[in-house]
Amino acid sequence: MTLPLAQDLPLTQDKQPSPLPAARAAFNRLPFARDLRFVARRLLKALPLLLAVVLFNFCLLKLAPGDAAEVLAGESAAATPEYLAELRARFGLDQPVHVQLFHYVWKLAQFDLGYSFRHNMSVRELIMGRLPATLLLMASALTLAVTIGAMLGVLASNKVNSWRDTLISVFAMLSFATPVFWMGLMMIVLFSVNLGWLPSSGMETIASGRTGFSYILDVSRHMVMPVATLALFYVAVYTRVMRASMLEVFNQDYVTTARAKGLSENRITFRHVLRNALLPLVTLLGVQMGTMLGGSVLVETVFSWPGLGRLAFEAVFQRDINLLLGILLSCSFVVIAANILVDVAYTKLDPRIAMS
Amino acid sequence: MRAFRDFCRRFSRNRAALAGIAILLLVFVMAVSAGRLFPDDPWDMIALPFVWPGQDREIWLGSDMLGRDLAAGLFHGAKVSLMIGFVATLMAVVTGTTIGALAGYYRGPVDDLLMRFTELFQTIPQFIFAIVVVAILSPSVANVTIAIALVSWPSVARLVRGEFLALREREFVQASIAIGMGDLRIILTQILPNALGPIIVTGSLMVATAILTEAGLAFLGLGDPNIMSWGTIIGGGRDALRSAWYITAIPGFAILLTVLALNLVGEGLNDALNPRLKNR
Repeated sequence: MTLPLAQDLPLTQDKQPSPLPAARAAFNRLPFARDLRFVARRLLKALPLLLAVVLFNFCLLKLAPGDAAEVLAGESAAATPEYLAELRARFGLDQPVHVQLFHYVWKLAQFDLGYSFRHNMSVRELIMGRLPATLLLMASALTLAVTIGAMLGVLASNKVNSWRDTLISVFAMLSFATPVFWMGLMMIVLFSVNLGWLPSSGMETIASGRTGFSYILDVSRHMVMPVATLALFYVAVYTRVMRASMLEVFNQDYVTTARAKGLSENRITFRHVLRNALLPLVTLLGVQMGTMLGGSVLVETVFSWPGLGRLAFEAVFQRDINLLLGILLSCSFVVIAANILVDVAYTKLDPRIAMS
Repeated sequence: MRAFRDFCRRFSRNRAALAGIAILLLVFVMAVSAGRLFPDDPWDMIALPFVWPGQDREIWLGSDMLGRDLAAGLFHGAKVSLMIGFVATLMAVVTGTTIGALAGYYRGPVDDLLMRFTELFQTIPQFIFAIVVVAILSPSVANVTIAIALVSWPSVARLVRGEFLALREREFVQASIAIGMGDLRIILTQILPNALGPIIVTGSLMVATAILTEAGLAFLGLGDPNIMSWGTIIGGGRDALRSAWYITAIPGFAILLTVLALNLVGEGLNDALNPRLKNR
């Protein structure tokens, strides 16, 4: 049953035997060795994509009207041609394009995304400062969406074409068609303005000096509406995918076998069908990562959530193209990383995939 | 021809899809009649600010915080939404189909290269990419359309590639190759007509996404500053959310209905084109 581990290393097979066979064998015996190797291989595969994204960003930067020197000169309102030329020389903007590209890549390799003159901070610091809020928002929304979506999908697939199925489909259809930002605004009208239940903006009550549990409670209260708004669209997506996926698995032979054995319908649904039907949902998680980052720009703008999306909105308004491109680049990295994570999760859920 | 009649029969039995068509027709009529019913610029201030809907018969949908007629904005906005939605989708479908067809038909290195390119566009978060494109090119109707097309073609390319990969192995295509038909002719007259169904379904759903994207961009202030669009009204109405929520609610509801209608039509098309899948 167990495959020889050497098969996982096609690169070393046709070479000389490794000089450290004992060390390698010891490494292979570690519980995470396979995963580590899988991640390493997956990272290697993502490298060309990563470079392409970087190159693409560089092209966009070159397309943008006005280079960094002009922006800076415009800030200080003393734009003599000599001053501009001096700035260009200092930024290396007078160099040929391929040299500039090399510098760009070299700086990126050191995680240097440039400087935002509007914020007087390095772009990396700005992004790193805002990333946690966005990740918190997205992780919560994803968890909520997957949980509710899977639940509704199971409920709908359990009784196909019943009124329950129809009701769930109508709900999914409506959530699918609702503009995210409009939903957020309407929730503010209902829950903040009229009912006064929830705070309408920010991540915490300003200058309240809360600590510990009271602080967590405060942040959660601020989170309710943004998370619900962002999750709604994905609830619709996951409900529909889950329903279709459940119906497909229900038709498979092994489910008929389980029925023939006399298992209860509940046991079949939850133990036999649900687990296999969840796989497409995991695939979707990786695919949806990018759209969710986009959705969070709108949601964060509506609720003044201090995350990356809100930063992007500010960058648009301040015409801070360098910062905007830094955000785009970081978000692309997040997507690539998420896809690698999804692939790892996939091999855990379905070991057949790691073999291929 | 019989196939087409069958398709029409199946589609017309789908009440939800017919409702979708009805709503779309209504929005279309709104867009077409906007210039006649509201000949004045929708940006003109024609009334007192903050007139609630139903308060004044002259301006039945009320006025916004600057006294602009909301009904005029709604009708003129329909024009913008539909136009950007359809044109952007058309551009994306043509681009995606071309790339997907080439990749699926030629396979091998061409496929590798084109799919790598598609993967790049799928990795970059679409909405943020659209924001960047509009911010760099300056906001105008044409640039917003280009930005939306630029972020939405990859899904078409993937779909068309898959269809082409499968259809290419079919006997009628192999026969066309055997009798010496040219590549372009095979792609256009043999394979493409057979892949058209899924492309049309995806296209109808993409119009919905394009309208949502346009509204999102306009809400963020990245719409054409001279054009009244639904997203623009929502973005403006946001400042008066506490006192006059109807300014935000009305155009948002229009977007919701239009997108819903497009989804219903798309699903109806899908069911009518793949009748076997419906009652699975």
